Amino acid sequence: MIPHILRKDWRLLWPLVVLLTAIQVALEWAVYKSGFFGESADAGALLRPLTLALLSGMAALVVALVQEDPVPGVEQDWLIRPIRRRDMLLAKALFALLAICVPMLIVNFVHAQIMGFSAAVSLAALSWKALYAFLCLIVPLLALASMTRNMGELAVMGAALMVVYALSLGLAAMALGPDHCPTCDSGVSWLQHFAAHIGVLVASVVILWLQYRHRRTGLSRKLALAGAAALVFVQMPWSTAFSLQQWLDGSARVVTPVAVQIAKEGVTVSTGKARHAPGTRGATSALLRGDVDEAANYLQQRVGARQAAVIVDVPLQIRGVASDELLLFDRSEADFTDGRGRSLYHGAHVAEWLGPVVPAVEGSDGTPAVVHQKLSVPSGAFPRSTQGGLRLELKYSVTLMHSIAQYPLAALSGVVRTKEAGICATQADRDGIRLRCKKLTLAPFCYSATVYAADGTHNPEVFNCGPDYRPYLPAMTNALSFFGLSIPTRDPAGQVSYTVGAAELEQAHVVLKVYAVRTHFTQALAAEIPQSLR
Amino acid sequence: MTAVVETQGLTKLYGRLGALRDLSIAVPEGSVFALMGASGAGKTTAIKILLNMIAPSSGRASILGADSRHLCPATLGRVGYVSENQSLPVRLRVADFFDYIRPAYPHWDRDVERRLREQLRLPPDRRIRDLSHGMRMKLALASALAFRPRLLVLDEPFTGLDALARDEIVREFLQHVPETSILISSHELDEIERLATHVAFLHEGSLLFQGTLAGLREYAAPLAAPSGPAAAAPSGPAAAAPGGPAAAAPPDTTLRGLFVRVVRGRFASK
Repeated sequence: MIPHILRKDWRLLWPLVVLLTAIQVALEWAVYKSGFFGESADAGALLRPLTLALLSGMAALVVALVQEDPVPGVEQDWLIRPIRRRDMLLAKALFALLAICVPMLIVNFVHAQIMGFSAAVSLAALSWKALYAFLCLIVPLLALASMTRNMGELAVMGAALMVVYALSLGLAAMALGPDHCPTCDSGVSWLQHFAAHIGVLVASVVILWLQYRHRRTGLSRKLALAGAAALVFVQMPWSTAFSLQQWLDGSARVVTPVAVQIAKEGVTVSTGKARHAPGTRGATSALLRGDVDEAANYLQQRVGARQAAVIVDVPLQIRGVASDELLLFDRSEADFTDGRGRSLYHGAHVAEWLGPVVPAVEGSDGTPAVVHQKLSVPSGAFPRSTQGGLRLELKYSVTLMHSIAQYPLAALSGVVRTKEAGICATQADRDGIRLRCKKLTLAPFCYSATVYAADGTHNPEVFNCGPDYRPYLPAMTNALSFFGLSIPTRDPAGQVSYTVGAAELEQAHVVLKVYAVRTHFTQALAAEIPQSLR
Repeated sequence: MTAVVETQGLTKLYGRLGALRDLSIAVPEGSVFALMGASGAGKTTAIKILLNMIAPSSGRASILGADSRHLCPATLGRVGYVSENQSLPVRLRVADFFDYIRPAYPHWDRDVERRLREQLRLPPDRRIRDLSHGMRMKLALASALAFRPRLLVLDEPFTGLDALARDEIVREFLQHVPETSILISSHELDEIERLATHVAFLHEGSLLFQGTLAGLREYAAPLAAPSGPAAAAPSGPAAAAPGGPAAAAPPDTTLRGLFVRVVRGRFASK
C-alpha cells in the first residue's frame, strides 16, 4: 500500500515539493554568488530570507503531508480502510525523505562540485547532512504534525510547546543561575545539544508509535510538553561532559606535559561594585523575538546583579606549552571554605575569561608569563571576618591544542585549497586583510593567521579560537561552513603601529595555521587567603 | 444464524456521563439491523467503538468475528462504512480517490465500481471538496460497496439528503442484501422502515429493545399507546380518521409509533 499512498500524496503535494526544491536551489545559488567576501550584495541579502523560507517550507510540507491523513479524531476516512497504520507512517516518512532530503542532497552536491570539492567527500558529507536533517528535523516534525488535525491545532500545540520551554528556561535560570546549564557556552556544549537531539528523536519515535499504533493523542501531547520542559531541566553535568569529551578524543591515554600553578605573588582580593541590574524590558523583548536563551540570560543577570561582588585575582603561571601549542581554559570551578572547612561559596566560570593562552616568557630567565583569572564572587557569600582565613580551591578543565597544518597564501587575493580548512581566500580592506574559508565538513574552531612581509618580518599572530569540540554535525540548511578572521595592518585609532602595513601588502603573504585538540585534562589548585574579604 | 456484529456489556463513559451503558446486541448475518434512537442515544458511539475509532470504557465488541480493538486490514477489507460526518480526503478528485483506495481491497470489483459511479453520477474530475453533501454521501457509499463488503455500517446516512437521493441510496442498499449484512443507525424512521429486518432501540445510552420487526410488534402490543406529541400528530391513515379522541384511534403500528411506544413504555414501567 505504501506506493499508493506515496502516489496519492504526490498528486496532492507536488506543487509544494517543487516550490521547496526551488527555494533550496535559490539558497544554494545565493550562497554561491555571495562568494567569500559578499561579492554579490543582492545574493547576500537573500540568504536570511531564503534560509527562513526553506525551514518554513520544510515544516509546511511535513505538516501538510501528515495532515492529509490525520491521526487524531474519529471521522477520518483512512482509519476505516484496510490500510495498515504502519504503512501510512512509513509512506509519510518515505515521502518526506524523497521530497525534502533527496533534492537537498542533489542541490548541495551540485554546489559542492561547482566549488571544486571532491565528489566522494561531498557525497559522504552531504548524505550525512541529509540523514541528520531527516532524523533531527523531519522526524520531530512528523511527530508534532501527527498530534494535530489542522494548522489551527498545530499553531496551538506549537505555542504551548514554546510557552512551556520558555517558562522552564526562565524558572531554571532564576532557580539555578548559571548552573542551570553547566555546559553552555563551552566547547562541550555540543554534547548537551547532541543528547537533546537524541532525546527529541526518541520522544518523536515514541509519539509516532503512540499515534500510529494506539492513537493516544492526549498522552502524546502530554509527552511532548513534558519533553519541552525536560530539554531545559535535564542537563549533562560538567564533569560527565568533559570526561566524555576526554574519552572521545582519546585524551585519557595522553600524559600532559602542561602544569598550571599559582604564581608567587599569590591570590589577592578586592571589593568590586554591584553590577547594574538589567530591567525586565530586555527579557520581554527577547521573548517576543523568540530568543528564549537571551531572555533567560537577562533574568539570570537580574538575579545575580543585586549583590556587590568581591573580585578574586588568581595569577597563573603555565609551563610545558610548546611553541606550536596553545591552551584553552574550558572552565574553572572555585570553592571557598573558611578556617573550619565550612563551604562558603561554590561557583563555575566558563571559558571566555582567558582566551587562548600561548607560550610567552617574562624576563631573561625564561619564566613563564603570568596570566590573571579574575573571579567575581558575591560578597554576601562571605562572613564579615573569618578566623583562620579562607581557603580557595580551584579545579580547571583545560584543553591543549597543537598546530596541525599551516598554509601560506598571498595577502591580496590569495586562494588556497586545504584539507583542514577547505578553500580559503584573502582580500584587503581598509584596516587590514580579511581571510575567509569555506569548508564542506567539520570546520576548525581554532586557527590563526599571521601576515608576513617579503623580508620575513611579521605582525602578531591573530587567533580565532572559540572552543567547540564537536565532530561533524551538519547544519540543517547550509552545507558549507563559513569561517574566517580579520588581520589588522592599520589601527584606525592610531594607537598601534604594525610592522607590516598597507604599503607592504603587495609582496606580503599570510600564513594560516590550523589547530586541533591534543588533549583535554583537569588540574586542581589550592590557595590560602589569609586576610578577611572585607 | 451467525452474528456479524456482537457486543457484550459495551460501556463508554465521558467523565461521569455515560454515552453508552452495558450494550449487548447481536447483528445476524444477512440482516438489515437498525440501531435507532434519538440524537445522543449512543448510536454513533456504539458504531465508533465497533470500528475501533474510540475505545470502550468496558465491555467488548466483535465485528466479523474479530475483536474490535484489534481490527486487522483483512477484517476492514470486508467492512464498508458510510457516515454523515465521514472525513473524506477532500483535496482528491473523485477518480483519484478510487485509484487510491482500490488497491487496499483484495475483493474490489471494478464492474461494481463502474456501475455505481455511473448510477450515482459521480463526476470523476471533480475534487471531493467541491461536491455537495449528497454527492459526498454517494461517493462514500460507492466506495463502501465496490468491494462487495460482508458488512456495511451506516451511521446516519440520510441526514441532509433530499428525497431523491435518499431513494437512490436506499435502492442501492437493498440491491446488496442479503449478500451484505447492514448495520444502520438513524433517527430517520421512515427510511429505516423500508430497510430493516431487525431493530434495536437505544435511549440515553441504554438498550430498550432488540429483535425482529415482528418481535417488536409483539413486544409493543401490551404497552400503552403514546399520548405525547407523536400520538397527537400520527402519521399514516390514523391521522385522517374523522372525529373522536386520540385514544379511540387504532394503535400506530409504524416504526415511529412503535419506537415512541417502547420509549414511553419504558418510562411508564419505571
